[in-house]
Amino acid sequence: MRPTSTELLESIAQALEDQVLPVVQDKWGASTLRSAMQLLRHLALRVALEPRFLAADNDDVRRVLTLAHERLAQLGESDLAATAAAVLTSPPVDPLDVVAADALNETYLRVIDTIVAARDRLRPLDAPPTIHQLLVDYLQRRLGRERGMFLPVFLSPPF
Amino acid sequence: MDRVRVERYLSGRLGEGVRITSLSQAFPGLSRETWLVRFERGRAGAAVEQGLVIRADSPGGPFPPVPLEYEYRVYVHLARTDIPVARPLWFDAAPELTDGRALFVRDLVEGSTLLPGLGDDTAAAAERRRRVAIEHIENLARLHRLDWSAAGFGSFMEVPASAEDAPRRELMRWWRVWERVRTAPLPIVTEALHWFADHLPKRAAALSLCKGQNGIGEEIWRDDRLVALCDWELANLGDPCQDLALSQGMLKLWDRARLVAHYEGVAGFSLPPDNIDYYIVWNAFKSMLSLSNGLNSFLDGRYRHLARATLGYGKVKVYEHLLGAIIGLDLHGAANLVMLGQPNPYHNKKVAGG
Repeated sequence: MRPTSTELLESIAQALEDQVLPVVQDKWGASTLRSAMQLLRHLALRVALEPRFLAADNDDVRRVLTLAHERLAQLGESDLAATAAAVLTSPPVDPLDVVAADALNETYLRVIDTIVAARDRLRPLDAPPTIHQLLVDYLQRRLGRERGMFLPVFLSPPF
Repeated sequence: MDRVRVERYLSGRLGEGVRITSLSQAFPGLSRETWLVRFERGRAGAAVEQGLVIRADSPGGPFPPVPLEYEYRVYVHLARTDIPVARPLWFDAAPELTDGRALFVRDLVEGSTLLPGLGDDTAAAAERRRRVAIEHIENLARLHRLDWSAAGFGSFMEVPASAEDAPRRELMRWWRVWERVRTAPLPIVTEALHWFADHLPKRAAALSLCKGQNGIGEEIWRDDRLVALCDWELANLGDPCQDLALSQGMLKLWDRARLVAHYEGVAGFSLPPDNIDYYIVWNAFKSMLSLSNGLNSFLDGRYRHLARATLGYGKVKVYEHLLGAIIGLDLHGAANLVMLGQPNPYHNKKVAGG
């Protein structure tokens, strides 16, 4: 469908910048306008990238949690292994349902966070070190995957 | 905040009628509102002009998860010392003026939080940057030499057991706060907190009263002299290296090594470079925490102010990526990365208040 959502959102942000911002005299109003433009530019990227990001990330994090679960079970870390197992039983979601995919992604991240937080306890047990690096590598891949939605849009001055 | 309500409020508090002559809100003030009030009191013809500042929680609450009354108490204790601060007048926990939002009132100090032209590309501006940087660092050194125990700060602030204890206490305190205020699971931040634990300074340079956010945009300047230190919401007892790291670009105004040496001469103790580097990186985490906290009122619908989303969501993402990038770096490399990524938004302002 043309114009695309991205084209529309970018056009709105550009029009606000070119035609509205120069005539807004009030600094509070101008600040709010700059916030709106920044959010619109982010949305222009997010509407296009978010479904693919979530689908790829959910696949990746699920694979990582499967490996982590196996390793945790080997190490006798039954509580953490059970936490990972519980989230892995979640049914897959329709990748086009962004809301459901995002909710599932947050559930996965919560478990990743729990295991990352246990780093110091796992360190002496996990030899050769496997779990922590597995998770950190995933998190770096995730940052790379989502980067385009946030940078450089949110690097501009905040007000 | 409208003029009529302010007049009614101040008249009630001061016990006589006042007439507002000027009322303006300091910009940008996205965390807390700062209102500059000028008014006349007394009988017409013999009226006295006076200025006050009303600092109030915003409808969405502050960014840093610190009660306003804490900052007020910092002012009250500082006002008994020779540290330059505006005189605090009263704290009001739930006034009608702000529909129940906490506020405190202090004297208005003439001056500006900005120094227009400071970033100009001229020899005169470069010399001015040197003078301003020294003025600022000397004030920090005097603050850090303050006998905070005698001044009563230990009565309401967390007191580290020792200089060795201070860095870990600071880390663990804010780690707990982060777990309370974060809006989503951010495991990369949890990993960054491990990085901080791995790189903790062995001991604080001293146990000092630290200001928190400081530098241009925070303090009040007049004729390039610092006449009042403002914004004390993040004040704490800890490593003074925190404040140099939190000085928002002041260390870039002149030669950093010479500035630190000048500070050490005034303070009477030395600052381990690793400590400064550590707190430069730590500042990225604390900034992220505060901005993230500010998003809570947006998400729960109390305050759908757009800046809460750009800062609490967008800027937090930027910080998340920055913290992700420090993992695997050594202290110096991480500090350099953060310094590159954090220009001070105030330094190149062409006009005060703009």
